[in-house]
Amino acid sequence: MAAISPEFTAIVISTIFLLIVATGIVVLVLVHQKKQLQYFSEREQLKIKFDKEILESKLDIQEQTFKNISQEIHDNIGQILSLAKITINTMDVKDHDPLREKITTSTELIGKAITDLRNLSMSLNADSILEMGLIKSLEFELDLIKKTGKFNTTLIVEGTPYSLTQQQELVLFRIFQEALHNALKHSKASEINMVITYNTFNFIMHISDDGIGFNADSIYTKKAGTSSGLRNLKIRAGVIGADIKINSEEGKGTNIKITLPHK
Amino acid sequence: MIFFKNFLEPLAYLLYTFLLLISIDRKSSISKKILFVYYLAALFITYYANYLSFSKTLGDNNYLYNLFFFITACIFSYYFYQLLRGKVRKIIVVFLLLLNIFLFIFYDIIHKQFYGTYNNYVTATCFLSIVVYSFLYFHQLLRDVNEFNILHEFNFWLISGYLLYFLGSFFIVLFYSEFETELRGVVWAFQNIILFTSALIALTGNLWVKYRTWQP
Repeated sequence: MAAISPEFTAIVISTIFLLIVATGIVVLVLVHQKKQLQYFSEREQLKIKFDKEILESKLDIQEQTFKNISQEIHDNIGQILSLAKITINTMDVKDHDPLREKITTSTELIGKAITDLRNLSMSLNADSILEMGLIKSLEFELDLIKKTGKFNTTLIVEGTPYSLTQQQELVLFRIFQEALHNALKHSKASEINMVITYNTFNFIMHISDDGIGFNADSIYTKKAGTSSGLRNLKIRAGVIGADIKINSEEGKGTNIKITLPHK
Repeated sequence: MIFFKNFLEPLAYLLYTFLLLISIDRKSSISKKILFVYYLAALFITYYANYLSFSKTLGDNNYLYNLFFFITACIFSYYFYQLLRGKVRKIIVVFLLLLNIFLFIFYDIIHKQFYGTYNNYVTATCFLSIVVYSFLYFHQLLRDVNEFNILHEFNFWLISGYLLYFLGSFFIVLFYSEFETELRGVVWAFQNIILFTSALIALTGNLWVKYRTWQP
């Protein structure tokens, strides 16, 4: 049997050594890549959490602003108008005086302004909404729209209502207000329908109108200024972990479906 | 065999010098520039040392390698001290540098072995220190994970090459005196092959990084 040369032994040993070190470095790279993926995932989670906190803060500030405006309307402007109405009513004018009719009209107009401002104050004030509850608040808003005579509104509640958190109720109500505002401003609709469904797994709020509709893809593009309100809906829905689907086609009305998982 | 034994070593240092040359720019750290000077010096020292090994009148080259490996310990300690983060890692680097200085003073100066013999244990300590530095660097990479891809890091390729060379060389020099005299040439050539391979890894890796990040 021929003796193994030292060169051959050196080559074999060096090859084995190279393979071991190379394997070690490859393992290091793989472990690093695995840790890097974990790092990216954690960073993304932190970003989502941070964004959510920012959104919640923004909504809190917005709610506080609404509350201040609402109080100002109720306590200041409302009081002034009431005083103005009382003052006009105390004016000593004879029944056959030509001014009587003008005074009566003014009193009616001021009365309407007081009622409208009171309604606006209630819509803005989160405490009133939470006190009334979501369904009552929605009914109240839809009634106001209906009273204008320009829109026909319906509200259907399916399933047995269960309680949602205050934050969820408030955000859902604001989403509804935003959707309603968009419909009144842009859709040229005559019919606004709402269906609320309480089922075991989800709370579903479905808002639809028979308006002119729009290109739903524009929500996802920044160029359309009109879509900022619709983007707001998505942002608000995200805060409470709800999913929002907006379907619309030009000439075919708009459907907005908000699904909130029920735990 | 003569090529592997005598010419591959300066050639490997030439590759390292070229790598540092193409990697250095005005924004480069001082430690990287010092590393370039080190490799340039290493190129000349090893070339001269190999030239001496051919000469029968100029004496042996042991003192050159003793000096070279002492400089290696100092330069690499400085480089890794700058590169590594964290108090513990830096303390380990300082401790190993002091150990290398102590061994150099003890054997080469006090015991006057600088010109006389090649002390493989002193060299093995130097190599082992650099292996430890490399592991500390890899540990740092795994601890401080960020968005940067390590395959795009200059130091990753450089230190992967170091790990290969210094770990291999550590085992070689540790058992160097155990080898028969006629086998030592083969072992020395084997060490030079590893050195050349490590230089190739560092150069190829960094050229690949440059190619991937190159923008016209």
